[in-house]
Parts: sequence; C-alpha cells; structure tokens
Amino acid sequence: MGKFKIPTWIIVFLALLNGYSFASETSAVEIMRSVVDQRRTNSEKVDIVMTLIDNQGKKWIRTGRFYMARKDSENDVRLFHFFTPPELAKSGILTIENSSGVHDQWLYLPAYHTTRRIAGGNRGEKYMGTDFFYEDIIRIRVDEYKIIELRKEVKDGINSVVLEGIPVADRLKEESAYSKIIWWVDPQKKTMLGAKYFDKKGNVLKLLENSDLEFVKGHYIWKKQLMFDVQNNHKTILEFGKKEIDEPISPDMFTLRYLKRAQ
Amino acid sequence: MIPKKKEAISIYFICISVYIILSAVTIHAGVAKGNFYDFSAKVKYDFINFYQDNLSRDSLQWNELSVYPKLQLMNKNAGFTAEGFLRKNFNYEGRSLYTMKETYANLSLEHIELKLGKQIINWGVADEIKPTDYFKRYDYTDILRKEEEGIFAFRATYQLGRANIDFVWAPVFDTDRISYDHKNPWAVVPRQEISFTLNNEHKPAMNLEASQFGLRAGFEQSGIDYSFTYIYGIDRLPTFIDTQTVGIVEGKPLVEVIPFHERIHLFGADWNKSFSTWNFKGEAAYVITEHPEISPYFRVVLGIDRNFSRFWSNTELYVLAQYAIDKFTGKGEEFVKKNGVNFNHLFRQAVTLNFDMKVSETYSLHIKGILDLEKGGRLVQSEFRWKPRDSVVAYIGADYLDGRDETYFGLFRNNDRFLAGVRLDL
Repeated sequence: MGKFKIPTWIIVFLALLNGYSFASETSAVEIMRSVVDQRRTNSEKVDIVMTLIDNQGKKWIRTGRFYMARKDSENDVRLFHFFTPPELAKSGILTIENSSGVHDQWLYLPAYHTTRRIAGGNRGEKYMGTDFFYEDIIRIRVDEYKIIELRKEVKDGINSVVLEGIPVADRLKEESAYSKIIWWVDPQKKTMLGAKYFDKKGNVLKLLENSDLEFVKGHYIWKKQLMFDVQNNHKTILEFGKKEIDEPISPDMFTLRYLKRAQ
Repeated sequence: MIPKKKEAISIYFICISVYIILSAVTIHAGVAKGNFYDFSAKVKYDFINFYQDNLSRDSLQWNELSVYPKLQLMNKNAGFTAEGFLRKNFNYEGRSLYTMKETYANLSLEHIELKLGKQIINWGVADEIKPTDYFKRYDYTDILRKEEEGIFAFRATYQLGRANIDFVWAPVFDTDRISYDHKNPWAVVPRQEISFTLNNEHKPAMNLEASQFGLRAGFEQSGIDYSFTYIYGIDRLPTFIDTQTVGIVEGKPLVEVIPFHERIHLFGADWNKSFSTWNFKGEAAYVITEHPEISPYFRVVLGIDRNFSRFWSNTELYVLAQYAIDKFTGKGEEFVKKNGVNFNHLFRQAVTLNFDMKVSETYSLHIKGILDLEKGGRLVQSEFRWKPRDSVVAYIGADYLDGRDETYFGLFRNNDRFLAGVRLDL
C-alpha cells in the first residue's frame, strides 16, 4: 500500500489558518482587555437614576448612590444606597469581592433595623431587582472567557469590532446565566457599545445598549445604559448623574456601619 | 418590688436632660450645615374580620388606622430621629395607641457610634423567633401583627476593622405590651365571662435596680459573621402569670391576674455563613432566670435561606426555613405544665417557613407558617399584595390557627381571620 501523502500546500494552508485563528483570538482578547482596563477606575461615587419598565410598559423609578473602590489588584468593593422610593429609601447593599470568587454581600433594610448577610456566590442572579445580573456589574475577567473576533461592523456610525465570549473557566461556566456573549467594541476609545447575551439553551436573553459617552479623568464612561430582557419583555435604564471618579474614598465607607448610614 | 417614685423621676430627669442637650446639638449641627433632613410618613388602614363568633368579643370586626410620621436630621457626624406611632382602632379602644416608636440622637466618630434615646436595637440573625434579641419592646395586643417599639437606652458601638463591640444600658424597664383584657381576642387571660383585675405588684420598679445592660462582640472573618452576647435583663414578657380568685362580682368570679417579670442572665451567640447561593444562620441563648422553678433553659434557632432572583420567568422567590428549640434543663418543664400555656415558652420544638414570591413589581405573595412539632399547634399567614405604584400597596390576606387547648396556637384557634388593607408611603 502506498503511503498517503498530504499535499504540502494543504499543510501550509492549515498552518496559516490556524495561525490566523490564533492571531485573531489573541487580538480579540487584547481588545477586550483594553476595554476592561480603560473603564476600570480606582474609585467612583455616582448618583444613579434607575428606571424599570415592566412588560405592561409601566415605569418604576429608583434613585440612589453608588460607591466603588479597588480592594486590591483583582477585586473591588461596592456599596449602593437607595434614596427613593420611600419603601426602599436608606436600604443598601454592600459587596466585597474576593479572589476565591465567593463574594461577601450584606443587605441593609431599615424596616428591620439590621444588616443581613446574603449569599453572594451566584453571578447569574439579578442585581437589586434590575435586569442587570451580578456578572454584568462586576469587572469582566477576560481570562475566564474564550474570546474571538467575529467581524468588523459599523454600529451607530462607529467602526466597531464584534467579539464573541464563551465562558470557559469552570466556576464561571457553572454560575453564569450565559452560554455566550457578543460584545460590540469601539477599539479606538476602548469602550463597549453594546452586548447581546445568550442563555444556557443558546437563546437570546438580553440586549445591552450604551449611549451618551463622556470623558472623565482619563476614562470614557457611558452616561446611560439600557438592558432589555427580551424573554420577559422587561427593561432597566441606568442614568448616571453627578460623579466623582478617582477621588479618594475612605475604606470605612465599605463597612457594615456605613451601610446603615445612608447619606 | 414597689416602685420608688423619687428615684424613678430622677433617672428620667437625668436621661431626658442629657438627651435634650444631645438632640439640640445634633439638630443644630444638622440644620446649620444643612447636609440632610428628611420627613416621611407611612399611613395604613386595616380591616380585620374574625371568622368565628365568641361571646367575649365586642365586635367581630376591627377597623384600624395607623400613622407613622418620621423626622430625621443628619449630617456627617450627628443625627436626630423621631418616629411617632399613632393607631386608632374604631371598634376596640384597647388597641388604640399613641406613642413614639423611636426618638434618639446619635453621634458618629471615627470608630465609635453613640446613640441616646428611645431606640430599636436589633441583635441576632434569626427571623421571627430571636433568642438574643432583647433590647426592644413588642406590642402583642395583636400577636400575629406584633409591632416593634424602641426602649429608652444609651448605646455605644466601637468598630475596629471587621470587629465591633456593642454596649447597651437601659436605665428603666418597660414590659412588652400585652393585653389582659378579655375583650381582646389576643388577651393572655381566658376569654370567659368573668371579671379580671390586674395586680402589678410584681412588675419591676422604675429605678436603677431595674436597669438592664448588654454586651455584644461581633466579628466578620473568612466569610462568616459571628457574635457573642451577654445580657443582664428582665423578662419583658411575664416569666409566668399567676391567677387567683379574689371574690365574686355580679355573681361571676373576680380573678386577680399577677404577672411576674424576673431577672435574667442571657449568654448568647449567633453566626451567619453563605455557601454558594445558600445562606445558613444560627442563634442560641442560654438563660438563667432568677426564678428557681423555671430556670435555666436554652433556645436555639437554625435557619437556611435562599433568594431565587430568576425563579420562573421574571418571578423572584425568597425562601427561609428555620428549626427552633426551647428546652428547659431544670424543673421548668414541670412548672410550665402545671401552670398552663406560658407565653414566654410557646413550644419546645418548632419549624417556621417564610415564602415571599414577587411575581412582578406590581404583584407579590407572602406566606408564613409555624408548626409546633411536639404538640401540633400551627399557624399559617398569607398575604397577597398589589402595588399599583411605588407609594401605594393594597393587600388581602388570611390567618389560620389550630391546635389543642394546651398549645399556644390552639389557645387562639377561634381567631382565624380575613384581613384587607392599604398602605401609603409618603
């Protein structure tokens, strides 16, 4: 039997294709990393108006203030205080991220005069009753996804790169509500224009639209975010008002004592 | 114990003077710097209809209007809070109440928080059945809708990193509000056509001898919150109630009701830990009562809860299950059996279940149940809420109680009821 020989040109072609694919993935990862790094501040204090729009079109408006600071190179600490409506006023949620991926989280409900530890382990749960999941709020750990570039596309007049991220880290795969995310990224300003989230069955779950970009203290930051839960026809609009970026915030702010002292 | 009036008046005078000075300072600081002030109010109207007739009731229906006005002045370091509580029952005057729920001034320094005045202090991590939660007062004139009320106290909390020490001194003593009026379906005396007279001879005096204090050290370490507690207090609910027939009025026996509120030493601990999406918690107390026949005893509550933020479609579900033990280690069991239902020891073993389902921003369902595992007494409460807008909630619900005569819920089994109401947040 004669030896089966693969033609040299096929080997060269496959090598090039593989090389192209590898190069594409590396480049996509770097683009995504640059977006995450560009957005990450040392600290934030931001007034937020949160509008929930239910499937009947009825609007529910909440206002509050969000505080964030870096805990260490990997992790952040977050505090959110509600101002309105009266039912939620002065309640708050404190989150301390840990490298283990199991975050400490406490809720303060003035009606009960106490803080309560709440399970903070599941990234795929809703954050404060909005259409944002906890994993949408925390910083994207780029290494936990397999990220590839799908195409280049003009979105809202901006030359964007379309990236696909698939959870690959074991813990993320287990906890995430998503099987896949598609991000629209502006590589010039290193910002995320929008995203499409797919549930575990591969169906479209949510759409994210960011708008009204501003440049604050060296960071491009969106002033408005719309998250649309297409499966439940429910929307959340976040509008970011007065903000202080990279101003020193006392570590005492991220304690249970301060959680109870909404101001 | 007989109240020493002069001493009681002196204590009140000193406390109120300090309180007024501190309030004035904090109000001035708040207004002068103009950082933060807030006035809010909650208004509630409840219609309650008891299902079964009972000779001792004036009415099978209650209509209640409750108002909670609240004023807060606050700046970075100081604050003043005053919350009133006004409740008018249009059918049974015994439920009408006009008081201050809280009125306190507070001062926050770098590591210390000071609070003086009438305040609600919440200790422990359990829900509903709270073994170490001593420093607050309850209104049990409707035991299923008990209302929290502050006590007059000085509180100092010292925070160091993720640890804190909490000290509370309550110079005067108040019992919980409980009804000895047989016209109230929730009275702790038999609901029969007999006359009662209340003998307060054994109520603790209004003097420093009756002051209480507590110390709680709390820690947060490696993802677990835990604390240790010691309280030198007095039973806010009667340790036991004695009854004696003292005469005949209009051919019916006149019964004297004598509540005893005894000194207690409470040693407690609680902890709270999350594993993945589940939250586990426990609270325990070992109590020594200065009444030899009912002491000592220990109480333990173990609980697990979870929030399913995407339970089904857009529905959120919160579930909490708890197992509670209340066990005498001395002769208390015999004493309680001899004296009937003891309102301080409702069961020996029980399970509780809370189930809150938020179908949407507009609709939600809340169910709560308690089952006495030893004697079978049980309670189920349900409430369906409709929130057409953020500041308005309308609700309908029902309470179901059952059990044998010697059980707590069995004692009130004629009090099954339907309720409807509306709440405005202003």
